[in-house]
Amino acid sequence: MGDDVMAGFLKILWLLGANAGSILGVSVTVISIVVCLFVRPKTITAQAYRAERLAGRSLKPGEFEPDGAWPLYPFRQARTDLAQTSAEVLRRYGRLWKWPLDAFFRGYHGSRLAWWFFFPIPVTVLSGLAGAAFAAAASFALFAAVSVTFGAASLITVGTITGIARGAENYRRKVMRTDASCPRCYRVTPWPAYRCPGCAELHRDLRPGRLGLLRRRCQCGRLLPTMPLRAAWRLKAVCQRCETPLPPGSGAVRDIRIPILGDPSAGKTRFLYAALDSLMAATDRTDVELGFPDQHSQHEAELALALIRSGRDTTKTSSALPPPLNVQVGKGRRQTLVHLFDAAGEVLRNPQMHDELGFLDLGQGLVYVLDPFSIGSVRDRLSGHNTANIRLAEMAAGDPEIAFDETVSRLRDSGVQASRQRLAVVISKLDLLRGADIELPEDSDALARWLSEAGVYNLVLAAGRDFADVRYFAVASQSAARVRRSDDPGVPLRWLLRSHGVRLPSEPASIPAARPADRGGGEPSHRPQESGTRDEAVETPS
Amino acid sequence: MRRTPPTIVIFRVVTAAVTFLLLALLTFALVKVGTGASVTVNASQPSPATRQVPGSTEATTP
Repeated sequence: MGDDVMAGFLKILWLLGANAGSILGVSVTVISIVVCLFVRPKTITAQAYRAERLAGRSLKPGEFEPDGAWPLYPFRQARTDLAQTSAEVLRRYGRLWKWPLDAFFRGYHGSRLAWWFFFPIPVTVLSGLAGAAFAAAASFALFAAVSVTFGAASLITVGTITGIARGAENYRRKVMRTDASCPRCYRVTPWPAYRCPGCAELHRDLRPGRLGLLRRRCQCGRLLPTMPLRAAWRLKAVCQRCETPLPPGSGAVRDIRIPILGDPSAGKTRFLYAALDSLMAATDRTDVELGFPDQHSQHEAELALALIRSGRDTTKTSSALPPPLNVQVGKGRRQTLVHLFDAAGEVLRNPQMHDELGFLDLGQGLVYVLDPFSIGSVRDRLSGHNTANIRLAEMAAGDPEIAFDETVSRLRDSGVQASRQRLAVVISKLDLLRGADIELPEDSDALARWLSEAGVYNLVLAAGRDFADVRYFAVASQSAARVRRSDDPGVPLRWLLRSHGVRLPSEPASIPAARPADRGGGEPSHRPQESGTRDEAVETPS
Repeated sequence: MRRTPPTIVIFRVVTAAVTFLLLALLTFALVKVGTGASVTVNASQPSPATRQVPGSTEATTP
């Protein structure tokens, strides 16, 4: 009977202890969660996260450090919060054991025998501690389950949205060819780096991901848009390699790079600006905007166009490579950035300067300017004819076939697939040629035949063999207001731009046959269309 | 930047709030189950006032 009473008494004590301990255990976990998440949180900063990602692995050549931005919570901070809370629960629960251990087992608070003589007290306390352990573990497990579930759901959501956004971005980049090309180091990257307006930190990969879906937070706290398409007009884009500022829209709009090559004095610079003048005249007639995204291009174009329009000679290109002439066709997200590279002919001919021709590697179409006066048979026909015209022509000194071979060799050496590029072979100085009573055919194939018969057979053969598409144009590099429609220097450029998807005004039937400045000597055009453009005349303006 | 980004704070608040809510619900459910269990235990002990009718499985009160 006495034993039953004692057992019942102990059971009641055990239950009381366990219940009180359970409440204590839950409280320990709740307090730990509040302390770790809100009172003294251990936050993984952007810098710490970057250092973590860098630790233990060395950067490969050409690879950059991870961007300095705050990671999304599930990617890093959730793990730290869980670990810190776990440690805090253990620490606080351990502290519960201190007094009972000291009193019941170590004898720090009176005799141990005395404590155990009144054994119901140790029994109650120890059962309470056991209950607290169970409750604390269970409630922490609940917190961990919630945290892991949230983390997993967030990761799945972020991963799905990231995949979709990156896929769409890749598709758009492939279709639109929205590379970012540097005018200084000629590096072409899929997207540029962007500077944070707050701290000038470089963000090299603004795609959606672990640092943010629609926006990311820079290490300085400023919010930056993700995706080049959204960042292009809000942040300052710079080259990934040399950090040169790039035109607004770089990496988000169509980017076309066209090197203009040829022998010294072949008329490359004059052709470039005459073609630009023609393009400006064509866009003037419609609502297609044309402008210059940087001051250098604006200044250079204004100077050269003034010379072209006044009928004076352009200056000879420096043998040091100038930055390209950047032209912006269209506006907003549908605009196109066109980079026209004008290299001095000496650069091509000098083997020691071949390393300077990096822009050749990134061209999406080539213009090869050929001086007809450098062709031996043409010179022979002119001997004794009109020497004034020949003097005026300042003919190119080199053999056009050799210069062309050097260009193609350079492309091949650089691993550029010429077989995927378009080539516009431009026979310049058509006005002077006509002045010497030499008429050229207007059709591309007929021009190729004329060149072959004139002795440039190898060039025609190699061009057709090495390039995906070759067209021949004969142009007079004059102002759009002076030139005959059939000699329009803008036609080769427009052909290359259209072939890359640029929407331009339709080829004119609508160009006036004799513009006002034709009074200056040009004859009214009698040709219905320019060479090489007949199949493109149906293009509708954007 | 020293201040914790708002997104992290939001995640923490939501995680903690959901945890506490579930904890409260579980505690409430456990207390209710525990109370119900004790009532059931008491009910299984027939009171002196009840008697078993021979051949029947039900306890009846007079």
